[in-house]
Amino acid sequence: MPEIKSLLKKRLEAGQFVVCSELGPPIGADPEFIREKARRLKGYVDATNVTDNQTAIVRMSSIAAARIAADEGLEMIIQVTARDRNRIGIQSDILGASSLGLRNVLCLTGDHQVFGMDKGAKNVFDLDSVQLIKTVHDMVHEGVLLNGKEMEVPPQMFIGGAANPFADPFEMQMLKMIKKVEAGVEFFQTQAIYNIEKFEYWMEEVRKLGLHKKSYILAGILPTRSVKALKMMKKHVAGMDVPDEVIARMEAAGDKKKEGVKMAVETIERVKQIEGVRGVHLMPVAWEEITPVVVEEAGLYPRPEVE
Amino acid sequence: MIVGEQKNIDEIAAMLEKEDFDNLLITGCGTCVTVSMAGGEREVNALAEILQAYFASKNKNVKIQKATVKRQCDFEFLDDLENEVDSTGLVLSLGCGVGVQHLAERFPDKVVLPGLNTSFYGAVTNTGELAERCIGCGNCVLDEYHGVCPIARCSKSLLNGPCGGSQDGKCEVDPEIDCGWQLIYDRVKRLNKLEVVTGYHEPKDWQTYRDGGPRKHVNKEYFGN
Amino acid sequence: MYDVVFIGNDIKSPSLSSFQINPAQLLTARGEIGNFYLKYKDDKEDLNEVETRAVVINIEAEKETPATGLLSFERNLDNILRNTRKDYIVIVQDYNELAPAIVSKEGLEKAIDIRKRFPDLNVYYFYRSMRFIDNNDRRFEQARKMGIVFLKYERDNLKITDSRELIYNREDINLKLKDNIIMAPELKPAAVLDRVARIFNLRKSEKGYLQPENIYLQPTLSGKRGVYVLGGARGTTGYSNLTDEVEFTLNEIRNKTIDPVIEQERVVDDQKCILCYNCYRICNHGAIERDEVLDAMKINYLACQGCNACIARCPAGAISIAGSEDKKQSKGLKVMMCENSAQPAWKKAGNKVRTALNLEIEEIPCACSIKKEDLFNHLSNPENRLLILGCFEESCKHINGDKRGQQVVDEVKATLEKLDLNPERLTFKRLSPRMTADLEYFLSAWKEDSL
Repeated sequence: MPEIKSLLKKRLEAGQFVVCSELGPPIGADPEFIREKARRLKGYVDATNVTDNQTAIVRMSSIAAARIAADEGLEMIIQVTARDRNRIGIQSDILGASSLGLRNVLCLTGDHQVFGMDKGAKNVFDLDSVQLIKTVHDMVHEGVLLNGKEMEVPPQMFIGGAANPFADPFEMQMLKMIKKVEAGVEFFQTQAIYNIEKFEYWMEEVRKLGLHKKSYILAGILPTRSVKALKMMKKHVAGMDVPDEVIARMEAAGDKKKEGVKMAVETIERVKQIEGVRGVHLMPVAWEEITPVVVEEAGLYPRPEVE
Repeated sequence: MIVGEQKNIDEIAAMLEKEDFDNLLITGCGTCVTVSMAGGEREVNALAEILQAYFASKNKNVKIQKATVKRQCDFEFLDDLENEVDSTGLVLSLGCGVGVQHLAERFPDKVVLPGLNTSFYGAVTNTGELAERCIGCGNCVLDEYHGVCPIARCSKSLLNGPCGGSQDGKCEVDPEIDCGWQLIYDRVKRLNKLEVVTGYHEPKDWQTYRDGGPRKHVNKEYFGN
Repeated sequence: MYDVVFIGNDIKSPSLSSFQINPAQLLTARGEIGNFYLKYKDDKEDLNEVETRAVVINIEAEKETPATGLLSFERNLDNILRNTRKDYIVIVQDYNELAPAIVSKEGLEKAIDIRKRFPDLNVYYFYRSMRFIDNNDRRFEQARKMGIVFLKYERDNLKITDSRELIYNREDINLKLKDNIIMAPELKPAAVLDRVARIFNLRKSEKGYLQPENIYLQPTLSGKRGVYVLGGARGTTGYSNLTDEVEFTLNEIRNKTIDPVIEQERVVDDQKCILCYNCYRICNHGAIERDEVLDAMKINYLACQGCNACIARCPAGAISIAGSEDKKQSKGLKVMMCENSAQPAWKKAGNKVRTALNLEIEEIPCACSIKKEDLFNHLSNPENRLLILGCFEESCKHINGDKRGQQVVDEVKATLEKLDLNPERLTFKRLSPRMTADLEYFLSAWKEDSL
């Protein structure tokens, strides 16, 4: 069996400014839904996240959907949250994903179930995101499970975590980021950036701590086309910072779609200038078809070759 | 202290509906749930009055007795109820879940129903307000976190810091909830014990919690006769 | 033992025995509600002591004419008016600042009196705000019918010069009137209030009156139980409703010191008390403390204002009124009236109305004293109805007793609703002690509605 390596890792190691995107699996069991979305992204992005029951809403499993999309030729990043599975289930899934040839994982705490439709569910949170990262790291790099059991064939994963430049307490979030690095995180995808000044300040702190040298930081970009969505995110999405100027700008715009793309492109251009930012993570919500447009307009198309 | 909250009256009524009785004993508990204003004498009296009115509206003739004991979780106090229980068809307990089960154990031939929901272990935080402070995990970590429990106070029981949903000191689950990690952070900063938040905390061993099966505690100094 | 001692002006009441002491002659005061001991020097400089259940401080404010050279309200003006060469007389109210409400009354009476006795003189009445206390609306109407000219002014369109000339400009009206100007007085606290405050240990307001502005207190209550302040002792706002205030105060004294039903002793059963501190937290008068010896809560009787919130809320049923018996179940329509709001209004309603309405009335010390169990008990009969009358928000003597009462009512109604027991049978309403007419109307409507 030929060895499969993380292409995302290779690109980053090669110094490319990478482009990630996101793919939300269906509430249903239709593989064609995934294939269709994957085909549209092909060639425009370097890797694609598949969310894990995002906002606590039941969807096709991240690993299954990622495998289907990978068959269309996409590099995939599976997501694992600590909300729905305990340490047993999570490690088992990591083994399964690796055996399916999936090589990237984003380790998350997970949104609380109150955000979804199963508010009455019992949550797990047996591991937190730091422990989750360390567990995966030890499985991959030490070849041991959390309980100390050694594996003959350990999984292979390029390990990612989330960072939120806008959540509180700021110092504490920084400390947690350090912990994630120490636990073995290799890349970060950040919360969507609308407050660019705050993001710049945060990167400054990241550089002071040297975290940009120990991990690859991919800036979160969320193209949007409506004032309503911006207001909703400002008010209801945990850990999002949407300044009033951004909302005012969208309100004033005639062609909202155009403005949304423009804003995303501007943000990409700005974060590209920041030392330590090694790529972007595009995560349009319910507007996935815009990803190729943004990539093109931002001058990031075509994607460079790897190897 | 164990904090309880009275069940909705319609729920209690529906529960009673399923039983066949013409004598009802409502038992209060004079300790924790009295403090939490859910199962003391006042609530027993009020519940007796409203149920009397309810039975009358259903043309049901029920004799209601009331008795509040010091603690339903001790057989010695339950012994005092022997006569009342003997003469009744049904017991409605306003004790916590422990009290209800202890009554059922002490009086195996009687149906004992719960009138409360046992909510949590908490403290009084305001007039008429109690808030959760402990989940009874069986292996206290308050030394590690200097007085604020991340398991009880963080909605996700995270041991290594806040999630990304913490904003302005509030939790993503509900802006009424303080972010547990903000509380921890504020406290360790004040105590100059920042190593709590910088150090790595291993996944918790949950065997001492419910995950080790029903728990029992034996004090060897007292145990046995 | 007197029912009440008046410091300052005496007010006779048929049902209260009273005594009067000149504030300048008062020396010391000790004791508490029910038993005050006041020492004073009589006119012969002899030392005396008098015992009283309550004290009413009733000292008029001092009046000052705000500008020199003008005529004052107090002065007998007959000579001047008889000999004047002018054909008018001017009355000015509120010149420097809004005058106390009572000045409207005095001014109107003065104007009417002059008009009656000197019909040849035009009377011009300048005012910034006309306050309708007592029967002022009738006086105002009468004055207008008599041809008195009322001119409303603002600060910037009326001026009185040093040469006693009044200049008034308003749109089409330009008036210049010289002399014959009567200026309403301004009030300032009587000098003797300092002394009285010291003797009774009362906190003074910023302006030097005995009752600091306190929206939570009924108008004449002072910070000290059993000591009341009337009219001028309370400052300019104290002049707004004199008759009502006197009535409220004397009623309060009757209720608090003579009527034994109200002043019963509240006791904590130390065997039942579980030290949950709920009473301590709920008491707005700071009257609950912990008895270290008995290891139970206890009531500080000096601070207790008798609202019964603690009794209604004690989860262990540990607080009760000594010697009280279980209430017997009542039938039909029942009204629970707060003794500070609906009850005084009801007493004023007159026997005829009361008899005609024929309602079962229970006097309660405060809306916060109602108990869930009593409400359920009365409403257990589907024919029964219950009306609870409390104070308006912010005017509860016990600070938020109305809200606490409302909480219980809401809770009881929600419970009745869930069991399909017609929550409409329970009503909570807010009233003021002055709303007798509203109360009568509301009660008859409620009764009609209920039957």
